[in-house]
Amino acid sequence: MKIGLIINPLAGIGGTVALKGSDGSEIQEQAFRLGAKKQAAAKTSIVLEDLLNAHDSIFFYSIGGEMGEDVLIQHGLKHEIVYRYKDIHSSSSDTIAGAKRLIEKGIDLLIFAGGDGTARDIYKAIGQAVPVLGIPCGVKIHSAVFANSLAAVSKILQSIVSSGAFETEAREVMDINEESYRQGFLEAKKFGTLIVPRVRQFLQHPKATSSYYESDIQGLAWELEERIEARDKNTRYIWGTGGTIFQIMQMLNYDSTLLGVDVTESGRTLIKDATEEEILEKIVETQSVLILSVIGGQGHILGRGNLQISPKVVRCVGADNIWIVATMGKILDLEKHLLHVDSADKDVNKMISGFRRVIVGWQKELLCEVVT
Amino acid sequence: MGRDQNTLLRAFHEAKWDEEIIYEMSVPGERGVIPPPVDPSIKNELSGVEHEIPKYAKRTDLPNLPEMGQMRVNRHYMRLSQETLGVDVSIDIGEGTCTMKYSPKINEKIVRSSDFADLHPLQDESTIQGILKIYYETEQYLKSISGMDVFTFQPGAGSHAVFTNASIVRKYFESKGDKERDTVVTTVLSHPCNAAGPATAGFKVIDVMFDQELGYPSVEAIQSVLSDRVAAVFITNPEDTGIFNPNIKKIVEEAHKVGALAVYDQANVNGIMGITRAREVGFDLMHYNLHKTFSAPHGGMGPGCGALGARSHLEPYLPIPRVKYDGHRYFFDFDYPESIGKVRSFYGNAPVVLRAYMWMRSLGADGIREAAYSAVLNNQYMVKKVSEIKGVTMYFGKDRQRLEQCRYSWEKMKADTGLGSEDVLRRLVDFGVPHYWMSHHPFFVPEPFTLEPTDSFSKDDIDEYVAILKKISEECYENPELVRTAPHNAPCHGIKNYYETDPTKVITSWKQYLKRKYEKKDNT
Repeated sequence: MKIGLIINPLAGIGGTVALKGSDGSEIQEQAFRLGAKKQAAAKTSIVLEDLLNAHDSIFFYSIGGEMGEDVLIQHGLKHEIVYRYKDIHSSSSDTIAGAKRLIEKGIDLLIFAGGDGTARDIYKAIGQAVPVLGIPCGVKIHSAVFANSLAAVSKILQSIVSSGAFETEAREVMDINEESYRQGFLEAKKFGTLIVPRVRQFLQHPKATSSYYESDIQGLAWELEERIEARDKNTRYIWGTGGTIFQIMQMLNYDSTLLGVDVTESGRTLIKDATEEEILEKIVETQSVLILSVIGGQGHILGRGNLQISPKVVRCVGADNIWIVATMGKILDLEKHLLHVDSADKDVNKMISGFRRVIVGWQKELLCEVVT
Repeated sequence: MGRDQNTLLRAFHEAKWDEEIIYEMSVPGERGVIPPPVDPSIKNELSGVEHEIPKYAKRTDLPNLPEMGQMRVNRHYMRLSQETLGVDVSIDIGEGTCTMKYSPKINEKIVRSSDFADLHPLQDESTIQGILKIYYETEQYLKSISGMDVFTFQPGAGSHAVFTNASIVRKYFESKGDKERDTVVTTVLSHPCNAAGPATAGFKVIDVMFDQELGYPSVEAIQSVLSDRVAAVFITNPEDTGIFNPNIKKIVEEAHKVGALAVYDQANVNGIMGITRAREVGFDLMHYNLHKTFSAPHGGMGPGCGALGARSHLEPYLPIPRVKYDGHRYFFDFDYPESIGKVRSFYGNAPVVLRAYMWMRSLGADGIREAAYSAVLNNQYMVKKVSEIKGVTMYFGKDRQRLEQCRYSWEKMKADTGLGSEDVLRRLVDFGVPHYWMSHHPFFVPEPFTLEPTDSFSKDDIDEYVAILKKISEECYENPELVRTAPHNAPCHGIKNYYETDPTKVITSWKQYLKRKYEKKDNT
C-alpha cells in the first residue's frame, strides 16, 4: 500500500504559549520568542511507532526534512522523497506543492500531521483526489477529517493495511478566523470536504456549537462556588478554555478570558490567558485544582484548544484534583457519550482515562468514560 | 367486512367536531338542574346562618360558571370523547414503560359501587373493616411477590414512592448518627425519578452512564463511585431498554459493602413478577406501581399508587399510619415514633389498592406468573417483527434479549429520509392507534420509540400494530410528503413537531385565556 505523509512541523506551536493558533509566519516567530517547541514530528513518531510491525506492506512517499523524511528515517521505514522545501522553515505553500507531487505517485491514502490550517491547505492542493486522514497536532481541530487521537490514527492505519481496502466518505474541513479568535470571538466556517476512510468510531466529530440554557450554566457555577468554598483558601484554580468555563467565571465574578487559561486564588484572578510556563510557576508550590470542560461534539477535555495545560501541568496538579464540567446536553451530543483525552504524553492520557465524574449541575454528577 | 385481511390496516377516520369551549356555550339563565325550594321549617331554622361567614370570605357576585342544560352538557363531552384515542378503543401497545393492560370492567363497576365509593376516610375504624382487610391482604400478596417484609400504600405515584424511599434512607442514616452520607448513586437509564426523588430529599446525585455495548452500566462503573459518602443506590431493572441487568445482585452487594442501602425501582415489574424477587437480590427498599403492572388504570396521570416495600430493619421509618391486624380486627397503627411521618393525606388512593387486590385475587399466584410469561413472549415476537421493518434499529445490547418492552430507534430512517420518530408518531393516529411513547428524557437513544405489548394484547393486535409501523416506514421512504403533513384522519391535521412548553405562551384555563386576551387588547 502506498501512503503519502506530510507533516506540518509548525502545527500546534502557538498552543502552549497561549497564542490560540499557529497560522502565519509572524505568529510562528512570536511563538518561538515565547519559548514554544515543535511538536508535530514527535506526535507523528508516536503514530509510526505503532505501525512498525506492518511496515513491510507500506511504502511511504513524503517531503524532505522535518516535513516527513526525518521521522521516516528515524523509524527505518521504506520511503521516497518527492519534494523538498527551500527556506529554513517550511510554509503553507510547501504543504500545497508537496501534496500535489504526492498524488502524482498514485498513493492510496495521504496522512497529514497538522491542524485546521493544514487541512485547508491539503483541500486547496488536492480537493477530493485521494482519501486523506489527519493526525491531530494543531491548536484548533474543528474539521471532521482528523482521527480522535494519535492512538486512533494507528488503529485506523493498521486496519486499512491489514484489509488492503477501505470504504470512504466525505467529511467537513472547518476552520475559524484566528485573528478574531485571539480577540475572543469564535466563528467556525466550512471550507469544503475531503474524502476520508469511513471509520466513524475513530474520527473526530466536527465541533458542535452548543446550545445551552442559562440555568444549566448557573447550576455549574453554584456547584463550583460551593466546592471552592469547601477547600483550603490557598488552593489555586486553573480554569480551562471555552464558552462553558468563561460563562461560569463571569457568573462567579472572576476576571477571565474566553479562549485562554486563567489562574485564580481566593476569588481573584492571579493571571489571565496564561502560558504553560506561567501556569507551572503559579502551581508548583501550592495545592491546585484543574477545571476542564468538554469540547462540544468532539468530547475532548485535554489536547484540543488547551495545549497550555501541558502534560507537565497535569502531573503537577494530580489526577485527583481535576474537575470536569459540562452541561448534560453536551454529553448527549457526543458519539457514544465518550470523553477523549489526547495529550502528547501517553502516561498522562492513561492517568486521566477510565471512569470519571463530570459535574453536570448543582449537586449532580454524571459518571462517564474517558478514552484515549 | 372489517379491516383489510391482507394488510391488516384499517380504513379509519376519527370524528371531528368543531366543538366550542364549554364557557363559550353558556346561555345566561339556562339551567341543568333546578333544585326544589327549601322547606320553610328548614329555612326558618337556618335563618341568619349566612351572617356567620366573615365578610372577607363572602362572594359579592356569582362565580363565572357556564350555564347549560343537561342534554347539551352530555353532548359536549360525548363529542370530545370521540376525538380521543385510548386503550378502550384502540391498540395501546405504543405506550411503552407504562404497562398498558386491560383493566377489567367488573372491577371498575365495584370501585364505583356505593358500597365502596361512599366510604369516607374519617369514618371510625369499626365501620371500615372491609377496606382495611383489603389493605392488609394486598400487603400480604405483595410481600409474597417481592419477598419484602412490609408494605405501605400511602405514596400516590411511582415517583412519589421513590421520593418516600429517599426520605426513609435519609431518616435511617440520621437515626444511626451517620451524617457523612450525602450522595445517592443511580443510572442514566433508570427512570429519571430515581435521580429527581433523592435530589428533592436533599441528596447529591451521581448518575452512572451505561456501557455502550451492554446497554446497562458495568459493575466496575458503579464500584468506581461507591464510597462511605454514598447513602444508597437507586436502580430500575429492567431498565427502559427492556434489558435485564444480570449483575444486579453484584451491584447490591457492592453497595452493601460500603454501608449503603439498595433501592429497587420495580414500577414496571411485568416481565419478572413471580420469577425473580427483590428480596433474593438483596434490596432494602423497593416499589411497585399498582396502576401499571397490577392492572389499575393510570387515570390520566393519577390517581395512582406506588406500593412501597421495605425489609424489616427499615420498617420503623415508613409513613404512618400502617394498617395492622390483631387476629380479631383491623386497625390503624400510628405508633412509629421514628416514622418519616405522612407523605399524603389519609391512607393513599384506596380505589387503586382495591383494583390491584381484585386483579391478584382473580389471577392467583400461577396466573400472575403466567401474565409475566405472556408479556415477555409477546415482546419477543414483537421485537422480531419490528426489527425487520426498514429504518428501525435497536441501539445497544446487540443480540441481548429484551424482556417485556424495547426501546427502538428510527435513526437510520431519519438519515435516509429526513423523517424520524416524531413524524411517525403524528402519522400513527391515521390508522386508529394513539401516539407512542418515545423515551424518558434525556434521549440517550436518538429518534427513539418504546413499545410494550403487555400480557393483555393478542397476536392479532401485535400483527396489526407492526403492519401500521411497516406501512408508515414505507411511506417515509416512498411518499414522505404524506407523512410530513399527517395526521389526515384525525380531528387536527398537519400538527407540527413542536411542543410549546414556555409557561408564558401556554394557556391552561379559561380565566387565563380571558386575561391574556384582554391584556393583548390593552396593548394594541
